[in-house]
Amino acid sequence: MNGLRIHVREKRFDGKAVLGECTIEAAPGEFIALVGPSGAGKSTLLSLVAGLDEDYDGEITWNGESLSNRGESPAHMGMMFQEPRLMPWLSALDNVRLAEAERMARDANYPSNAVRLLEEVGLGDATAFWPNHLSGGMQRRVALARAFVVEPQLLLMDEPFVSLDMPTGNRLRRSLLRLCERQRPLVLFVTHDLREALALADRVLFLGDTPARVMLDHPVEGARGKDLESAEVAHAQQALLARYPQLLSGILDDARDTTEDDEDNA
Amino acid sequence: MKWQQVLLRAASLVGLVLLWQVVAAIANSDVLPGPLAVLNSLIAHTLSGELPYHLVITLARVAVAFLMAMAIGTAIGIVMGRYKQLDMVFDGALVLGLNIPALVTIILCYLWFGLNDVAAVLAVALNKIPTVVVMVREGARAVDPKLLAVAQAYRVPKVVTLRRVFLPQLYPYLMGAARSGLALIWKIVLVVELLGRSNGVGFQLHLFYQFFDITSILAYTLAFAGVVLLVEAVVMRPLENRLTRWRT
Repeated sequence: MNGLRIHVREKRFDGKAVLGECTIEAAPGEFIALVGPSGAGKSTLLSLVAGLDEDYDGEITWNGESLSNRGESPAHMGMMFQEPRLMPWLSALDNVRLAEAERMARDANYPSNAVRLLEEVGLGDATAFWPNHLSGGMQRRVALARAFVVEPQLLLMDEPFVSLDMPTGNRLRRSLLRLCERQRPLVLFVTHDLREALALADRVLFLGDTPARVMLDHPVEGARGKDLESAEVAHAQQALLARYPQLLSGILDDARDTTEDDEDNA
Repeated sequence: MKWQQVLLRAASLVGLVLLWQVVAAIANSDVLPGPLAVLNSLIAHTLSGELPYHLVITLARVAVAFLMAMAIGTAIGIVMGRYKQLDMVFDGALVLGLNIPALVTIILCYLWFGLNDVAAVLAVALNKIPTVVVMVREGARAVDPKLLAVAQAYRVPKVVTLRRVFLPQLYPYLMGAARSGLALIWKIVLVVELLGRSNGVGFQLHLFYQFFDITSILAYTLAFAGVVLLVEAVVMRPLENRLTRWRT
């Protein structure tokens, strides 16, 4: 079976269950946003898929192959974290090339794509700079180039554009979508910003409850790459929140159902 | 800016020499010869070829002992910093190693391995290894797991991870260990030479001590101090600047 299949039965931290029964299925090329209150286990879920945490009960398969308990991360996986997480002692170029080290080790003639990717994210002039000399937005561009230099089929993003100003964030989101357009990876995009989720993704999954589970699987109307501040996104957000007023607090409470109940009682 | 720093360093050294001259003039005794007398003695010992000969031998011992202590101490320190179980197993031995007097290690090495260079260098290295372990272990504990997670997520090979992700985080600790290590090793090497070798600066100092030749003792000390300052200026500082230039 192609695509990603996540079935977590339980994930505990220090004896406390953070993730409960969670099933997520995604097709290759799909862009899925994971939304939920902080502490809902969104980042935890990503690190399970990434193979960074193997201490859980469940199975994760990727293109029919199990990713659980392999002791290593899947190949052709790109990942962006909440912080850029660049090596401060490596230049922008060397930071991107670090992600190519595995391919280089297997094939000494492997042609590096690091320079091309840095050019594509608009850092062609800054390849020799240390991360300290780059702005926050530029550091994230390096991290974005690093995520795409491995030609990802699976792209895991953990609130990658958090705490950036709106224009900088918008430019990065456009770069991301442009790169996705060509590479067509399956994207799991964690965010707490509902507008960002509705603007970028094909589907939004809402996490909530303790231990966390997927409460709602919401298909997004319209094409990807909507403007975050557009009326379309604002409208979609309003409609969703009108129906589930406490959705972002992790509570699925259908306003329509309650009104109907009230009418029945009356 | 740079020149100011050089000037300041030079001025502090000149000040020290002046202070020495003043004290020697006041004392006016054979027990404390002045800087000029010592400089003359230094030149004489150098021209006779005897000082360079012993100095080179001592420096060779310092270099071998230093590299050995750094390599072994770093390896043990990383392992102890990363693996809690092993840390607990070796911690007792480490405390013991830190506190055994240098003299005991030296004498035991000579008794067990004979009066030779292997025993001498080994004794020096054994004295230094525990302090390297302690400093590197501190660094290994402070390594950022978030950066290691990046290396893991991108399947960076182990050797590359060590070289480009792990070790750079240890550099400040390694530099600290190297600095304090050199300082300690200079001192111990001379004792080792005094106790069981028939050449090297330590052996010569012992000889002058028996002849009550204070001027020669100070001349050798001066040569030694010169080498220490040179190593600091030519090797340690440039190396440190290179390893930390990304911070600027």
